[in-house]
Amino acid sequence: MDTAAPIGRNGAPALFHDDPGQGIFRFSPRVYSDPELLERERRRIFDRSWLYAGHESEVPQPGDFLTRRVGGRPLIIARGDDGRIRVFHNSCRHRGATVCRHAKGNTKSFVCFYHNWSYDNQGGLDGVPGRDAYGPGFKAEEMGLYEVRTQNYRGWLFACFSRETECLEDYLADARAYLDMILDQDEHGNAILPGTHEYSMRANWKLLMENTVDIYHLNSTHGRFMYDYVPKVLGLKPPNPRTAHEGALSPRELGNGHAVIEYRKFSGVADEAKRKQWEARFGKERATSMLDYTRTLLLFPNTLYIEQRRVIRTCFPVATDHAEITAWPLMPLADDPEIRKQRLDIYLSFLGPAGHATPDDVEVMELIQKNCATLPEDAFMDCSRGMLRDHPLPSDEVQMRAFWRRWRNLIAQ
Amino acid sequence: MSPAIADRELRAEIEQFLYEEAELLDNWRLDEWVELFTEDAISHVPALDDPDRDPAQSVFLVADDLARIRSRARQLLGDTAWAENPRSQTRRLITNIRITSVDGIAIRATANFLVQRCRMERISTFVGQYQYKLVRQEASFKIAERKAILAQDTLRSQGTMSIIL
Repeated sequence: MDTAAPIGRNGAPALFHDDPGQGIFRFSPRVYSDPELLERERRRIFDRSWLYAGHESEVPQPGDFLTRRVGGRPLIIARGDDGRIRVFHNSCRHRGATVCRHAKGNTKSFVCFYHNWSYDNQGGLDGVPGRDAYGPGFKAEEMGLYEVRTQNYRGWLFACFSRETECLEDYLADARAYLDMILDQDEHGNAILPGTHEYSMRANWKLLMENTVDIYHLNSTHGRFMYDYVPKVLGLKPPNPRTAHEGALSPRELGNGHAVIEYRKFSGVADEAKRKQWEARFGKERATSMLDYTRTLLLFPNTLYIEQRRVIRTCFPVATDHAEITAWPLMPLADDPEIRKQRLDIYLSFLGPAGHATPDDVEVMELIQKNCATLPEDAFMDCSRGMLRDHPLPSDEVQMRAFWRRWRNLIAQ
Repeated sequence: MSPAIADRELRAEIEQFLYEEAELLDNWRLDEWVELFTEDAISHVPALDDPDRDPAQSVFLVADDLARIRSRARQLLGDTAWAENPRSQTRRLITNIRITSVDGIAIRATANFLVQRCRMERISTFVGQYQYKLVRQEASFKIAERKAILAQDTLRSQGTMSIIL
């Protein structure tokens, strides 16, 4: 049974073979290598989805700004003198040059150096040299920086380049409850720490989305971390692959391509004082989940939150075989310095671009990329793990299939 | 001996030490390299946007103490550091060596580096400044602090960093 219409070259095999009854889920390696599909991704996914753009803690004061590419578009995220955070295209309304060429800072105005048009920190046009040369049709109030549709969800700033897309809350679907469960744990709020990791890989962006929610590969790919760093530096027992999933919850599809995996906390003892408080506040089931389990949340299309490492990670395509990865640790504001240090170490040592796991993940993703462009036309990738199990495990591939089914629906429709 | 000559001799000693360290790294003699550090040593690669922040309060690329320096070396010498298996070839050029302070047996020195890495037909280059705190020990030195400060704004061009800088 093929649920997707064949697309691409005439007579080319279908992109997907999805047969839940038989436990078959396969897709063509073209999903990673076909430039035509990347073009569709840009138009149908990145131009229409809610994309994580930043965090309000990155621009805490009026006048604070940062510049960043989101969905491949250069943007300014600025907190105006009125305290509101806005997102703008970083492009002058006169002839389109970049108005802000600094990574971050604090400013009253953004000045384009081409003809010195200037904008206030709320995006309004407030200076045009030789203003008298323009006629009555030139209305400064209509010539502010192009503003991007933005929603702030509990500090997370999402941007969307389409007016037609549903509101963020509807877009998040059931992922919203998991985001709440994650954010509720920081009772005194949280903030992004300085030192953003900006790196890249010569591989398709979707490989990172899969890899970050892939538990199956942990022991095989990350042996160096599990069997050296964990016991010899952290002094902890590495998880036993045979028993690691005892008591694990099944991965869940959360609608609109979002998914979550939940697994028992790798180490550490739950804070029993918190348990009482949280059981009263959130109910027993939710409190248990928050204290004893940890989650990796995939927000379609390209945002990940890895709770154990406390990191928000995004991935954008530059080309079919080139992706930019950015990662920001989100730390609780009320943090003991020693615990803060441990949290940072847990992030850096595993997921940092110079850590003991990410370079190896990038290695494997780049190997896949090299192969997928040269395989026979009827070659396929298998993504059926755990498909027929009543209670799939985090090490199964439910979460990847959730992503792929949404991707397929958007790309093939 | 005049101060100028003493300075020149110390600089020559440090230069020799740094060249020997570079040779250990370039030749994957990492088990010997870890022996260059003091017990309380640190080895850092700070964030690219501001090298002067505190690794306990901000994100670094590498923030290793001795246990972590040893673990990194062991992992790279083992066979499951896939990003370096097969191993890359590196060659480092070390220049502009300057002593910035001498305090008893503790010497602070800086040097510029260019590390070229080649692996599987791809070449990447890392350029920056080393900041060392060395302590005199017998005829040589031990490294108490080693900071490799990269002169670039992101890691996008190299991808990741799987070698020791």
